[in-house]
Amino acid sequence: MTIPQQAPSMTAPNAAVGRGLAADLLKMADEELFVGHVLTSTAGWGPELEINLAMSSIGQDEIGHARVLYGLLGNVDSASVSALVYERPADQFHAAALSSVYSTDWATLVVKHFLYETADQHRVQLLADCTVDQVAAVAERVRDEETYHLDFWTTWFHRTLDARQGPSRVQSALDELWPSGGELFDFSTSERGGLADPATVDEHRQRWSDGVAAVCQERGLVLREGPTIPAATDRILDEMRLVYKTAPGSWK
Amino acid sequence: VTRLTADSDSDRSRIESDVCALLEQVEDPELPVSIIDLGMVRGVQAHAGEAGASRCTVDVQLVPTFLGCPAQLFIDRDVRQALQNVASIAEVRIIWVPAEQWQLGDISARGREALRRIGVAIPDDDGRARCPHCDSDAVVIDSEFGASLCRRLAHCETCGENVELMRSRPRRHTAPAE
Repeated sequence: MTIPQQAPSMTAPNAAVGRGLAADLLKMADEELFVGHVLTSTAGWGPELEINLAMSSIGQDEIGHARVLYGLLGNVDSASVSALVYERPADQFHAAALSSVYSTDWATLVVKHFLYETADQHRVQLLADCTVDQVAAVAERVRDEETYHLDFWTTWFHRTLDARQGPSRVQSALDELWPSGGELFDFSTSERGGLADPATVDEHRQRWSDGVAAVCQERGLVLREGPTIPAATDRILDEMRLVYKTAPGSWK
Repeated sequence: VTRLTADSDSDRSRIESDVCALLEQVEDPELPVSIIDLGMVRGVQAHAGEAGASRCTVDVQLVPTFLGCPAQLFIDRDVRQALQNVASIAEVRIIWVPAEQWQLGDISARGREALRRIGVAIPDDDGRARCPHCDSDAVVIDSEFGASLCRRLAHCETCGENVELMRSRPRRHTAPAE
């Protein structure tokens, strides 16, 4: 992972946040942004109006978390968040592919978010344990909101499995997405002063993996190794930047 | 608003209370309640301008109700508008403090009454709420997510009306899956 000298267009980088930590926060912010963007684009797939409301609310929450995480990188006003999101070159986004994947059916949507939210519980814990106070301070609020997300997707993971075709559809979604899940824990190494030391990150990755495996075993599902999926960064950026590019300067 | 200069401590504190009075006119775009009554204003400080300048800089600290609340951008704009014609203020700085907690207990009595009038109930610490229509305690949550990030869908088993329930912090944190 290449670490930018400083995030582009940052009016004043946050002195308390070193390069490695900045790269990790930027990665996490981009992942929250991608998850939020892709999810709001699928609001409408839910079987009931209330489910769609929930999906758009969760998407909005994630985009809000992205904003807060971008804010930790420095003195970020509206214009510089816009620059980070709308003008940063695609190769400076290092989001895990899972966060960017567009779902092809309900089961892949549910499995994507079940994997993401279970991993996010551990990632938020890494934020909470961060030695930089400003980073730890936002973790509690983020965790409050993520608790609702985890509850929602866990409920739907099980409800989807209870449908007649549920087990086979969830299994093939797991086959497709599970091998890419671990990328959510690809953070900087400690030599670069990242979010946490590599042993701690690996421990959380392992605990997450064990937790998912336990739920899957209970429901008769198998976690298989396989090829990883490519990130859909270009598609997301194209979609997200359409209006910004079409009417430059009119969106602040 | 009285025209004041920022030359003395007493003038600065008068400016601060004038600013608070003006912020009582700024409503949340999604609720008919001022940002003061919602408990979103966490600090107002007037600073003297540069030496010789008679106009001051005002910092307004705001806490978001939910981190992704889209109303933040509008509140930002509305606060600036509310303060733009105050002669003694040269600059307004809005500082969002997302690390601070916002809780339902931060809503004032006036705010609670305004919410009750539009059919929004506020649960107590144990998650119980009274129906804003018939005052029964038989309010049942239908969905944790509602028309805005700060509300959820519910109904009253007694009168049958739909109720919106303000969202609070979750009552427990789910432990990371082991």
